[in-house]
This record gives sequence, structure tokens and C-alpha cells, in this order.
Amino acid sequence: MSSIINKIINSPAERSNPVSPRIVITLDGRGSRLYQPGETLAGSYWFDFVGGDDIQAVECSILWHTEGKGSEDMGVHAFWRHATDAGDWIDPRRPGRFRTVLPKSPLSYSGILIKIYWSVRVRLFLADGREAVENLAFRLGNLPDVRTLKPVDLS
Amino acid sequence: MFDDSSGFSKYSTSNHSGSARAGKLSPSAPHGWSEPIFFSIILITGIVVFGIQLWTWAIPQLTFYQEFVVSHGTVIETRVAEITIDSVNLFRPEVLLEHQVQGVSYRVWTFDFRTLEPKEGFAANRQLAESALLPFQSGQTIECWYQTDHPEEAVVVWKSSVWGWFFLLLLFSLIVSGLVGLVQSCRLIAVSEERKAAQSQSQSVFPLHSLTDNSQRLDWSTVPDIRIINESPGTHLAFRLPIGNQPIFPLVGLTLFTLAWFIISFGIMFHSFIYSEENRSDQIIGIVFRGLFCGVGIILLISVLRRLFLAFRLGLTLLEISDHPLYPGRKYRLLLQQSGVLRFDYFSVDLVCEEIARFRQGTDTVTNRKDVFRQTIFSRSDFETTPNLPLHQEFFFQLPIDAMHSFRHENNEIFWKIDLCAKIVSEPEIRRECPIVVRPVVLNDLTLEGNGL
Repeated sequence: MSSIINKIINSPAERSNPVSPRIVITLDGRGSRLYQPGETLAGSYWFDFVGGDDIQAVECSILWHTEGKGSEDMGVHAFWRHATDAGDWIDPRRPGRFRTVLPKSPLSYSGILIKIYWSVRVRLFLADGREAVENLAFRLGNLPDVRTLKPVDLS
Repeated sequence: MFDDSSGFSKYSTSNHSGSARAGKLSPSAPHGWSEPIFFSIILITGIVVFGIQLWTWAIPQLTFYQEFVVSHGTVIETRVAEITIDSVNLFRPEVLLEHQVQGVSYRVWTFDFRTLEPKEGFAANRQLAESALLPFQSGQTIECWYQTDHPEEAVVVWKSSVWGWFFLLLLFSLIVSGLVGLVQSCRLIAVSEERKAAQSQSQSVFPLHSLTDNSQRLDWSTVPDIRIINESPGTHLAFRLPIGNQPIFPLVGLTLFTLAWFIISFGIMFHSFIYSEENRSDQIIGIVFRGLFCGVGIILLISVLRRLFLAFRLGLTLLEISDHPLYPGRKYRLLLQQSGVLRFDYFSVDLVCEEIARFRQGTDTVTNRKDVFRQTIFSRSDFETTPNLPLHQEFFFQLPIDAMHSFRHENNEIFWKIDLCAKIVSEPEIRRECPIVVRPVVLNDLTLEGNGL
């Protein structure tokens, strides 16, 4: 019901502003998106095609979630929120920074019924009620697909 | 390396240097209205019922407190008053009370505050009314309450129901819960799922407006607790593993139910034979139905006896491990001890990793299980155990270096276990499982070359 109401409310705004905001997320100083537990993940994000006055709040999360046969589980490792109503000043072109020491678990996993993905998620709340969200996936640990797992022969 | 199977299938918008672009745009407030509606119903119900209780019960009670004062009077006479409404005789107790206010004497037929109204306080039970009058004797001086503005209105019994006030308090708490829930759920409607998850995990460790991640993390929050196993030391090796898959409580419940069914059905059958009915056709139908109930009882009894036999036939199995929790790539020693006088077709011990996924289907929760890794680490066939010669076997196993750690969350689980599978001669296969916890290897925490021996 809320989405219907929002669509009705937001339709004129969307028509008057046909260009969607763009969120860019980058990770610091590496060509790989493979991290080990305990390593520091750092990076930045910024926005294009959106003015400073149009932004209400920005949320940045380092999180994992599951996919597969079961219902989705999600865990947030780190979370930051900047909101104009909390007195934060948000400049869309000035990169926002994030930095966290990654945990020991859960590792990224590709199983048969369950898959675990890690990502950096940036969510942008616009003043007209719309949201934009972007994810940048990375791997925690370097486990291969479970189908390739071989028993260890001790003989 | 970053192909679909390596964990990047969902978000493929970025290049190798690690950047993502073009955020997806959506209307805000994608969260459900079910909680606010639920709390609104609680709130409205609470307010309405609270209002009714306040208006019809609490305010009259408080008014009574304000307008009536305590005094003493004399019982002159008692009677059971009677009226007829719709051809039904109704009764209420009444006491003729004489009391004095400022030197003026008043006489009034009364009892409790309901008797202040001419047609209130009547009930169909005469005996109840008579028993209510028993404490009142003619000439007795008793406590009474009269209205200050109208001293001719007095009562001799006044009880304030504790339950009435308790009910009012309950309704008030319902209003408070509804209000708090409504405010909370309305606030969460406009909150992202990440923020909700962060808040639910711990508000103290996730300062929502912090600019840096300065909190201590619970690194093992998704890895099952190891204490259940580690609080049970072994006699030969470090830890004794709990042997699961022995559903004692369901078995006890089923046994009691079966016994009750059996006793009742056969009791009815014997009773029908002793007190047989006159009508022969009724007798035959009765015997058929009672026979069916007895038959179900016999089937249940056989089923329970078979389950009990399977549960206790294998006897005492002991499984001990050299270290716990386990780490991928490390080697461990396991001790298996099986006592009892048994002859086995085979006995095997497997190291198993199982994925468990739960999802809702209508009102049911469906659980899917899949073994994603299984390795037989001990196997023996065609042998006997005796009291003097139990099965006592030590063996080694090693977790694959690329093994996933144990994982448990609300809907998904990666479950490592030691599976015992035994087949006693001429009997069905018996399976038991011992859960173990595998933690991820973290560099600097331990060396991969180490072992758990």
C-alpha cells in the first residue's frame, strides 16, 4: 500500500527529474575484491546527477546476506548513517568514506542450498521520498565452491 | 576468478578495480504495514474496552467512595425480596437497617449498592439470597454506609472487586503496548532493512550516527556455541561428543498416549461384555466400533515397542574427540566405544557437512537438508561385541582445508556432524548424529600445519 501511495506522490517528481541519481562505490588500493578475515576494508562512495538539497540521508553498510533455497538471512557488520535532519552536511560530489576491520565469519560461501554473499551497500534517501541503492560485492575468505570439496585421505 | 559461481553473480555492475555505478531507484518505505495495523487494532480495542469499563464500573465505584460515609446501624429485620419479570421469579437479599445521622433516625430496606435501585441486584437463585443474609441477625449492630446528601440511602455490604481494578490495569497496559508498538512500527516503516538489522543486532555496538566503525565485533556470532560440547570432558580424549537423534521426549509422550489409548479402548470393550445391551443389532455395531478402537491401540502399541527397541537396542555408544572446536586442515583423533552384547552387519562413522535451509510455505515452515560433504572415517563389518570385548576403536580424520565453517542463522544453517550408522543382524539400520562445530581458520590465530591431536 505504501509503495502505491509513494508512486502516486512521486510520479510528478519522477517526471520532472528523469535522470536517476548514480551511486559510485570504490574500494581502496587494490585490484582484487578478495579479503581475508581480520583485514581492513576501506573505500569511498559518491553520487552523480543529484543536488545536495535533494538528499535527505545516506546509509552505508558492510553486510552479508544469504541466497538459495531458504528464506534470506542478513547480518550487518558495520553501519553508518548521515542525515540532514541530524545536522549532517551531505555533499554529493565529496566522497564519503567507510573503513572497517572484517570479521572472522561468516565467510563467503557457495553451497548447494545456501550461498553467502558480502557486500558494501549504499542507500540514498532523496527529499522527494525516493530511494536509490547500490551494492558492491566482495569476497570474505577464499573458499571454493562446495562441490569441489574433496575428502582427505590419511592413508 | 570473479565468475558467477564465485559469489559475485548478484552485483555485476562493477569492474575489477572495485567500483559500482548507477544505483537502482525505488520509492521509499518498502516495508510492510502489517505491524502498524496490528498495533492500531490493539490500541483501539484497548481504548474502547477501557472506556466502557471506566464508564460503567470504575466511575460509579469512585463516586460511591466520594458520596458515601461510613457509620453504624442496627439490623431490625431481614427478608428475601421477590419480583416477577417475564414470568420468572427473581430474588435479592434485603436488610431493614436503622441508623442515625445528626440525631435523626432513618429506617431503610437495603443490602449493597445495587439495591439502591428498585429493580437491580435480583437473581433467580433464592438460596443464594438467603445465604447472603445469614451474617445478619436482628438487633445486631453493624457497619453501614450512607449517602451524605441523602442519608435515607444506605448500604450494609460494599465490596470493591480487586479483579475489576486488575482488569482496568490490564486494559491500560494494552493501550500502552499498542501505543508504543504503533509508534515503533511507524518509525520502522521508513527505515531500511540494513538499519533495522543493525539495530536489532545491538544498538550499543552499532552507533548509528558514527562516522567510523569503532565497535568490537562478535566474530563468532553466526558460528554455533561450542560450550555444549566443551563442557563435557572425555575420559580418554579431550571432549565427549553428545550423541543426538535420540528423541526421548517424543518417545515418552507417544508411549504415554499409546498406553492411555490401549487402557481406555480395552476398558470400554470389557465393560461392554460385562454390561451387554439388550438389542442385538446395537450390540454388534458397538462391538465392531470398540474392536476398531482396540485394533488401533494394538497397532500403536506395536509401533511404540518397535521404536523403544530401536532406541535402546544399540546400548551405550561413546564418542570422544581430541579437540574442539575444529578447524579446516587440521587432523583430529576420535574414539568410538560401543558396549553391549550385539552382532553387527556393519558399523560406520562418517564426517558430514549438511546444509539446512528453512522457508515459509503458507503457514508451514519447510526445512530442506542436503549433505554437501560426506567422508567415511571408520567402517567395520561383520563383528560382535561382548561385555569382555566391546568395540573400542581409535582413528584419525582431517577436515579439508577448504571446508566451510559451521554457520547458523534464522533460516539457514551449515551443520557439521559425525554420523554413526549401525546395522545389527536382522534388525533395521540405526543412525545417530553427533554435532561438532567448525570454526574458520584465521591467519595469525593458528598455523595451518598444527593439528588437534
